[in-house]
Amino acid sequence: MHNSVAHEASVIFDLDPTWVAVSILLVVYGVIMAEKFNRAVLSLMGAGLMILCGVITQQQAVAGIDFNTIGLLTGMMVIVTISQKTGMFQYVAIKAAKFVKGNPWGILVMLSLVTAVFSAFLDNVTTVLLIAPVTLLITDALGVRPYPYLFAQIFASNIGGASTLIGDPPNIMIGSAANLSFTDFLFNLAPITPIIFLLTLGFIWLMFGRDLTATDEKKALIMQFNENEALKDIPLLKKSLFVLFAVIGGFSVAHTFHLEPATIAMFGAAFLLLLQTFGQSVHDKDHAYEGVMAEVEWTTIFFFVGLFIIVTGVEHTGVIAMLGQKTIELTNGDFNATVGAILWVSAIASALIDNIPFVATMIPLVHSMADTFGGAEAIVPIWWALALGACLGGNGSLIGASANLIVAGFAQRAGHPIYFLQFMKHAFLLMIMSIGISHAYLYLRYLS
Amino acid sequence: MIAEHFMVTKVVTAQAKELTSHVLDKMHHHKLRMLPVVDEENHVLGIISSFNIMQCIVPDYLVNGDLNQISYAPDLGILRERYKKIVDCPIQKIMDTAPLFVNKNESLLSVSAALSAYGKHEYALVVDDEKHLQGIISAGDILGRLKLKASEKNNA
Repeated sequence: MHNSVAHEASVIFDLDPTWVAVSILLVVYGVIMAEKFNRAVLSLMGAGLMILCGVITQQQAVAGIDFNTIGLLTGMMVIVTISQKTGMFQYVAIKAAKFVKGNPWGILVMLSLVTAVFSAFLDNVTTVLLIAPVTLLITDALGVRPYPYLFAQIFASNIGGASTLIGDPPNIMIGSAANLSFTDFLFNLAPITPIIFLLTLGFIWLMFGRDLTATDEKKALIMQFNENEALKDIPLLKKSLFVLFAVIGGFSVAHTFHLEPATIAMFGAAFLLLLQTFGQSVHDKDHAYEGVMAEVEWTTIFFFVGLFIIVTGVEHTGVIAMLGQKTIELTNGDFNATVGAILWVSAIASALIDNIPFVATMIPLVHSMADTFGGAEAIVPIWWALALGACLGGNGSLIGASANLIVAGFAQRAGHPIYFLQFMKHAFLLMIMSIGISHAYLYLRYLS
Repeated sequence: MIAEHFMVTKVVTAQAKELTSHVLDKMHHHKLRMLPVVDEENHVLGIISSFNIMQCIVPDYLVNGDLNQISYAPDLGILRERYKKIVDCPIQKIMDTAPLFVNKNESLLSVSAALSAYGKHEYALVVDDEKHLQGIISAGDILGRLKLKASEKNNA
């Protein structure tokens, strides 16, 4: 996405390339927000138009695709697809609920903790897809309203996802674009996210805690769950855990060996595919591989491909660099103010629009600020501001992150719909609180 | 052989506003597992089956949430509570509005293939161009007809 190939394509009808590129970007983002069409189709249409209209050539478009992000996402999707079949997520969720003896508030805390930890190492959507149904089952058993639990889970998934390189797609994109490693994210973001998580739980207690009560009979029902029954395939569980830990270990040392995270994730995925079907007939192996590949979220992958090309088109016109300079002018070249502006703008924008296209657009903008502030090393706090803003901002509204919509979908089908304004009334203020804490953290650690 | 020759024409039907409890009684009384739902002019609006009703009783999150094998959960009383709610609902809320339609002139082969491809249940509704109900064909009717034909051939 950040190559320096000069603009060689010629725009149709001699139109201004800046206007053509910006129009395509705005129309695509606008229609994505309207949610009337599939976002992958829209982004690929926009990418195609960038080339067809002559804003960039096909070679420039392909060079703009960040294959490290694509490879990391795809590899992790394969690993998670295989791992989720083992029942380990349900096992952990039930074990957590029983650990607090069926206490309703304790269960909320434990399920939120489980969600946050899983979200830090797996993608948020998968985590809530697996935890939200167990939560509904448990709240049905307890006879309590599921809204506080699902509300807490949305926050936990986005806060957990903000903690690591692989926790949330914006972080994957930022890490890849800014050459920040898994350990960089861990050392710089993981110290603040547990504090935000605990404070968020505190506020959730104030909002809902006193209403969460259950009879002893209902609590006893929780204790009757048999978590061991959730583990459906112990040999596959062992293989999945081995590969998951090896991949996370690999991420931690990848930078030292000059390896990109995509290499680790794709190798781990291929290795787990091999282990999963070891000893089976060729026919069964092929069947298993095809089953896993069918469950990879290709829509998301192609959405990313299209987005990278659209942003490359806009970047080639120089408009993003110009916006970067305008931002610096607005903050009078003050680094602290720029970090704050990126944090707050990212948070508000991510609460209202999909944070993935937002971050895709912001990455070249932040890159363009490097010269003004003294190079790539100097602007690292801006990357942390972008990561915290984009990930935590997703908590601000029901449409702020894909995981939020997944949880809302389950709630709707369970007969407990989460309404947009009802959610935003509580969530937006909590999100602002988390961004305030992030701002204080960034200031104290990097800016003072 | 065409559908008209082996369809059942005396069909017990239900109305969209009937309560689920009443439809369940009707099914039990006639020993049926499915009723076509029609309006006053005998236009087909959908079908209601015991499988339909059971699907509505089972919470959706158990089916679509990667949890369809919940052998780890005790009986939570969820089904009994949801059953109580569902039986007091009119069937228009839970009926299947996209049943399999066939024409009375379709061949046995065509109806059998359509039923196999449909996959949701074993009933095809025979309707005219305006979706007036003319009869029902089940997989059992087709097999019964094939058995009869085979024994006629053996006897001959």
